[in-house]
Amino acid sequence: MADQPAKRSKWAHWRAGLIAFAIFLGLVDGCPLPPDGYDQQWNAWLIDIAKPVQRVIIKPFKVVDRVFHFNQRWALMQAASADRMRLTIEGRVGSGPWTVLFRAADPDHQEFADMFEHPRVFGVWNPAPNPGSLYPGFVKWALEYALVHEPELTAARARYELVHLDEGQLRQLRADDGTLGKYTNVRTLERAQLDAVKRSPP
Amino acid sequence: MKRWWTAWVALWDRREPVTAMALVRIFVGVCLVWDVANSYHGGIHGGIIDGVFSTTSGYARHNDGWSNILGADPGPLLVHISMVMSLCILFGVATPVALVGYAFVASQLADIAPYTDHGVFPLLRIACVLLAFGRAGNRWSVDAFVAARIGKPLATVVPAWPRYLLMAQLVWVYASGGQNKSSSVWGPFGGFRAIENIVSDPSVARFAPGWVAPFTIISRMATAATITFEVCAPVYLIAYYFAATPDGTNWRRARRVFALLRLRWIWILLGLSFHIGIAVTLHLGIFPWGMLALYPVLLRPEEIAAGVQRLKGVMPAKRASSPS
Repeated sequence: MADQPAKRSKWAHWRAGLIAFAIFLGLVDGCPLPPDGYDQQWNAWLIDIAKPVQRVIIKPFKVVDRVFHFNQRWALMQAASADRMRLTIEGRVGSGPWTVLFRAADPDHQEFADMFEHPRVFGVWNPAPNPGSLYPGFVKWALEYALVHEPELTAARARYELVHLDEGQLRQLRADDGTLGKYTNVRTLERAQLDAVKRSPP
Repeated sequence: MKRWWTAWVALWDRREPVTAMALVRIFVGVCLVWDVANSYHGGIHGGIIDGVFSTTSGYARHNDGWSNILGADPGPLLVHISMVMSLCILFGVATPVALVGYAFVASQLADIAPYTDHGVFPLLRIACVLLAFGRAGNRWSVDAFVAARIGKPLATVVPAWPRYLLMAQLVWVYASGGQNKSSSVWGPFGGFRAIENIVSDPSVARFAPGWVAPFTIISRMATAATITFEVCAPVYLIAYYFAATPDGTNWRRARRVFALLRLRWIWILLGLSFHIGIAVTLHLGIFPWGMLALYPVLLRPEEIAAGVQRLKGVMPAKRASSPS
C-alpha cells in the first residue's frame, strides 16, 4: 500500500474525521436491537435505554435513508421458518372447477411463471410472514394478466396455501373441514369486472 | 491518543492503483445491465415494466420524490434511464456521473417498487457512490481511452479510502445479516435447519421441494458454516490488516495463527461458496452475483496486480505488426 509523506494536509484530517463519524453513524444505525415487542425480559432494560439513544442520534441523518433508501440493518434470509405460504393462481371457465395455472415451485403448474417468479416480481408475494402492502395491487395485476392472456377463462383466483416444511419435504395442511389444502388470502376476479374496469373512463 | 489519530489519518490518506475499483465497476455494471435488461421481459408495454414500476397499469406505489418532475407515472421512464446509466457504468462512459446518477435513479425505483429492492440493491447503490469517489472509471473504460487519446491520461493511482470503506461495508453487510438472524433454525436449538427450509421454500426455491431431503446433513453443516461466516465477518478486517502489514511487529502470535490457518482465504472461499450455492439453488435475481461483484475490494492491490499479470501470461501475446 503506497503511503503519503508524513505531513498531512488539513483536508486529510477532515476526511479522516468525517469517515470516523460516518462509521460511527453506520454502527449506531445497524445496532441489532430487536423490533418492538420482540425484546426478552433479560435485555428489556438495556433495549429501553439503547433504542431512544439510537433514535436521537440517527434522526438528523434520516434524510440519507429517504434519498438513497438504505440503512445499515441488513437482513440476509432472515425468515427461514418451516411454516411457509405458497402462491397459487387458478382459473375457471363458466361455473366449472378451478384449474391450477400457476403454483410456486410446482413444475407441473408453471403457466405465467416467467412473470410471477420474475426476480423483480416475486418479492411482493413472498410473505414474511404476511403479504406486504402492495400485495392486493399485485394480485389484481396478476389476475388481470391471467384473464387477458387466457381469453377462455371467465374468472381467475389467487390464494395462498399454508404449507409446512419437514426435513426438506413440503407437507400440505388440512383445512378445518378435513380436506387437504389449507388456504388464506383468497381473491377472485371475474371477467365481467375486468371488462367493466376497461370500459370505465380513466 | 495523538499517535492513534495520526495513524487513523494516515490510513485514510493512502493511495493505490485503481485496478480493484475498476474491476468492481465492470462487474457491478454487468450485474446492473443484466438486471435492468431483465426488467424488459414481456416487452416495453404490458410486461414487467408496466406491471411492477407503473402506478397506472401496474401495482407500483405513488411516491413524492424528485422523480415526479418526470411526470405523474415516472417508473417506466426511470427504468429506461437506469438502463442507460448501467451501460455507462459498464463501459465507463462519463463514469462518475453515471455512478451517482444510477444511485439516485435506482433509489426512486426502490421507493416506487419497494418489494423489488432486495438486499443487494441498496448495497449496489452505496457501492456506486463509493466507486465514483474511488475514480473507478480511470481504467478499462471509454473515459480512460478518450483521455489518453487527447493526451490527458487519467490518474491510475487514486485514493484508497473508497475501497477501504466498500470493504468495511461488505463485511458489515454479512456481520449485520448474521446478527439479525434471530430465528432458532439458524442455530443448534433449531437443529440448523435454516438452509433446508430456505431451499425448499416455494417462494424462492429453484427446484421442487423435497430435493434436499437426502442431503439434510450437508444442508445443516452449510447452515452452521453460513452463520459462522457471517458472524465472524469482522475478523476479516483484522486478517486483511495482518496481510497488508507483513512487517508489523504487533500481535505476533495472532499474525502467526492467521497466516498458518489462512483464515483470510478461508473466509473468502466460504463467501464464494455461499453465493454460488444461492445462485444454484434459489432464484434471487442478481443477489449472489451482485455480492460477488464486490469481492475484488477484499483483495490487496498487489494480489490483483499479480492476478492480472498471470492472466496476461495465459492470454496469447500480441503479435508485433510488420510492414507489408
